[in-house]
Amino acid sequence: MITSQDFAVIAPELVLVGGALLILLVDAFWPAVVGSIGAVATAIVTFIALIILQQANPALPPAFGVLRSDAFSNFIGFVVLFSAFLVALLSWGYLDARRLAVGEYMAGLLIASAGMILIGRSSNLMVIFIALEILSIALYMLIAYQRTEGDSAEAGLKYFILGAFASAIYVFGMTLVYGATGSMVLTADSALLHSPLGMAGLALLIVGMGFKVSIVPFHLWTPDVYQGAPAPVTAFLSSASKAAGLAALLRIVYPGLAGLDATWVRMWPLLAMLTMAVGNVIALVQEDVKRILAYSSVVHVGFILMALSGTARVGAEGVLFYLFTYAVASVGAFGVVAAMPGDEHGRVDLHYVRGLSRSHPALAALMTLFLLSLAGVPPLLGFMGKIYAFRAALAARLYLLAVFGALMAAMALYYYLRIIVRMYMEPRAEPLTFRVSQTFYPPLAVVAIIVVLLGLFPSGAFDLAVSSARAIVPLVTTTGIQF
Amino acid sequence: MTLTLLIFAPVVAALVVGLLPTRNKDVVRYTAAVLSLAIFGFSVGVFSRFESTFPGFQFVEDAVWIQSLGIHYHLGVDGLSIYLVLLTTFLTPIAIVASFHGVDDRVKLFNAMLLLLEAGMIGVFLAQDLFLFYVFWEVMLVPMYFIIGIWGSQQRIRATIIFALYTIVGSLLMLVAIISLALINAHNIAAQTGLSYLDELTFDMPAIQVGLLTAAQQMWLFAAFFFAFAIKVPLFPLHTWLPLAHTEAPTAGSVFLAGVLLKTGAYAIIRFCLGLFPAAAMAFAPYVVTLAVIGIIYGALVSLVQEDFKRLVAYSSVSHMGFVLLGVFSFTTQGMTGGIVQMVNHGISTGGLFLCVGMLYERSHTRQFSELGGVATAMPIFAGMFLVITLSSAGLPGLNGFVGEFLTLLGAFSNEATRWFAVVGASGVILAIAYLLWMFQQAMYTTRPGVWPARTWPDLNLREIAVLVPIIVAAAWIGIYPKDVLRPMETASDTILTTMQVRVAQMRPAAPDAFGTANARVHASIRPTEEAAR
Repeated sequence: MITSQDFAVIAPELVLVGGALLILLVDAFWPAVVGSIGAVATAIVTFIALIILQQANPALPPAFGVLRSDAFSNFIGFVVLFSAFLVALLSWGYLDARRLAVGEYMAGLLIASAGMILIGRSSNLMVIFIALEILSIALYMLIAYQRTEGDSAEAGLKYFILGAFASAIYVFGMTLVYGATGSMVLTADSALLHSPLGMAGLALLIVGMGFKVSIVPFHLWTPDVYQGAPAPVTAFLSSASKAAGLAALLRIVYPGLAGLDATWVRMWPLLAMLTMAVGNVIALVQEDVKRILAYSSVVHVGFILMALSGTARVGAEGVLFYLFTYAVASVGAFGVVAAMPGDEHGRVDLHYVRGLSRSHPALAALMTLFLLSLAGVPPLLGFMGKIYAFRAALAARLYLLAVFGALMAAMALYYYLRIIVRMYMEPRAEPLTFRVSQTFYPPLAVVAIIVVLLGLFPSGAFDLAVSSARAIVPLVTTTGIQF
Repeated sequence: MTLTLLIFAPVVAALVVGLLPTRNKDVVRYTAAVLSLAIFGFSVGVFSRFESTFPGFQFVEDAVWIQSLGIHYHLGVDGLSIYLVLLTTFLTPIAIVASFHGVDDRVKLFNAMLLLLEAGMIGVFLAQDLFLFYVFWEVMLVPMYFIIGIWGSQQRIRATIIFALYTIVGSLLMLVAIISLALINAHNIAAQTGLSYLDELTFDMPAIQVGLLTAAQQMWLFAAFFFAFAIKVPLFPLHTWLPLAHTEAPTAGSVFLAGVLLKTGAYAIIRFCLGLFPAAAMAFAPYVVTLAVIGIIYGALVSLVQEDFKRLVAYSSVSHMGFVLLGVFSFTTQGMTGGIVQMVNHGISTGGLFLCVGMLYERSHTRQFSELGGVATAMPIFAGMFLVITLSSAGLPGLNGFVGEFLTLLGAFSNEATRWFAVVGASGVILAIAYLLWMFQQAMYTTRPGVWPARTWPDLNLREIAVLVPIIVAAAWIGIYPKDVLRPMETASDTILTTMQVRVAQMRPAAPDAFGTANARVHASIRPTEEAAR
């Protein structure tokens, strides 16, 4: 029996999809209208969805029996919509400068956002799969959007093939879990779920999601796709898409692994160390700014896994808050890259950004701010994220992991510093002359203000992460894990 | 509000400088100089209201900053930090004025960075909350990267990256230690009150229950904190970033690096390593003192063979900072007072030496001794002022360097445990005279008899004299009349040593562990201050 309450729960998704259809419809008849105000309209739609999301009543019963509107799904929705809002505005000048069509792009952005919110709503494996497909198909299109550029088409194809591969692994895991427990819900019968068959299924589910959030060794697509995709889309991938993948991972991990002994949970510290180390080492030798940021995003996933290694509640708080801090700063950093036209191949590499602080001081200053936040320099937001990630690991007495994480964070500073050094400290014979569209500055300024202010006063954002962690972590928590 | 104003006045000044029009560089320079002078005036005002015999913190401000983690915005100043704050505000206008001529590129950014650096350094000396301290500690480093990287000399980028990586490794390990300390402390308190440890989490210094830490916990935490600070001091063998960074930085950067940045390390060792982990500090003291003495001798010997003017001064810092740790880790009132005053002295003298190097470089465009010499006839005023500063660095009685070195050696000698270290360390004073006079001879006169290079470089102008005079006045003031200067430091040293003894005595009997024997030695080696003072 479908009631109006069910629709109240998924109202944000309905607004997003409705907005997408409306934009496509208008685009079909009056393309000039969408071409001029499409980005702003998209931003407004995401903003409306954000407001509706914040008004959601957590007391509502799950829609259709499976879709929740709890603090966790709200938090993920908040991160996704906030990123989508910024990305829509950043795409405006980007699409305009490259004379790309606006309608389909914005519709894709909105539909992907809808899928991303949906994925955080349920622990039902089928719902997760459907949401995953919705967001993936929209992303395939967005990544290959500059289809005349080789890089973009290649990235789209890579993401499609590996995405399909990951989906297949996920579906296989799903069938194994279903075979073991006779249910798509992980909380159905933990004795059956933790049988060898069920565990194999769980492992495959985690692998499938590991692709989406680029946990090493499932990260290989990340640099190519991040580099080839249009820069605003990369910003979206690194923030909203990562949030969605992580939401699904948490929805699977917390009910799925609850009640297991510590041996199983010990994989997180190992995966965290592996992810941080591999991402860092490869990032050191990259020349392309987008590739550096792509590998750094792998490293940040390592920090998120470090938080996940902690005791359940404190760990989830760390994961969610870190996710938020990373998403904000990475949208900013990729946003700055989007503002630059790049060399003759459209690439922004270390060679290209030399002397940026002289020709475009505002852009260089913003980039520096975001990079320092990513590096975790106080008093910026990224530093607060690091604090909570370290707190999660240390509260679980994972001293070795925390020390390793500290060294990895120090190593990461090197390649962020490389970009800053090129922008500020290396001379350039003929200065960069490109013009930056004024549309880039408002969203970047918003990100900069958030990075500074929430870095100084993080309590509000952190309280959101805390209540959201309460919603996802079962009340009966596992004991502290020794490493 | 006084201390908050003191920290944020430079930030506001940096913003004001940043908003000035770029066209007229002189307006930017003079504005920055006037604002930094005003901040120095304000800090002197704070100093005049400072009670030098009051043992605790003064001008205390305490407010909750981040509730969920128990982080406080807690500031305070005592006899240990007051002179370091003054030193910072004193050197800032000097560094700004000294760069009038040397820095002609992106002047606005340069002056804004210097002012931000000042804010970070003052914050480091004033913060009484571990988290707040860490924030200022990092805030202080970022402008330094830019100052070295943008306005440095040929190898500046390499210097920046080495400096950044060295410091960040230390900082992040310290961050892990800070969070661990807060969590351990929260668990300790929670075990007594029965509440959840998450409610007891705090980073506020007075709220850390030092008596509840076990010996093993103290050892590990001490090691992590000390490592981070020892890089900054720098303690041998962690000094390898220093020569490059000091040599490649612009004059103002070198002045701040040597003058204040190195002091933040020594200051933090006294404040945090000794204050929070007294038992571990005493257990580690023999090793620390050994490294400090190696640093004194090694720094002096390496200085003796330098061909590069600036590198020589840089290596002399390694030697001079060794005295600070030797004095502090003798755990006597004189030793610690000497260590603190030696920090201030080194800031003044080495800061002055770097200014002289910079002034000479602006004329000669070389730092090689082989291409200098004969300067004394061309620039007599410069030679005279340079000589005074050189002698103050060498520890001539009547100038400031003597007071610090004498007290540290006296303190170290009066404690039996460090007596022989003092004897060996004293040879560093002799070596210092050797390399400093050698330096002076090579740069100002000539090393080849009968060959006197003729120089046409102009002597110092009024601005440059105005830069060096305050340095000389400060050096002479501390050297001739140290009594007033030393009083707050003595009070602070006594307080720190007494607190250490009380805290060691309070410690729970240690469980037999890897550090059990070390802990027993600690109790045996501690000396009451009264006895040491006699």
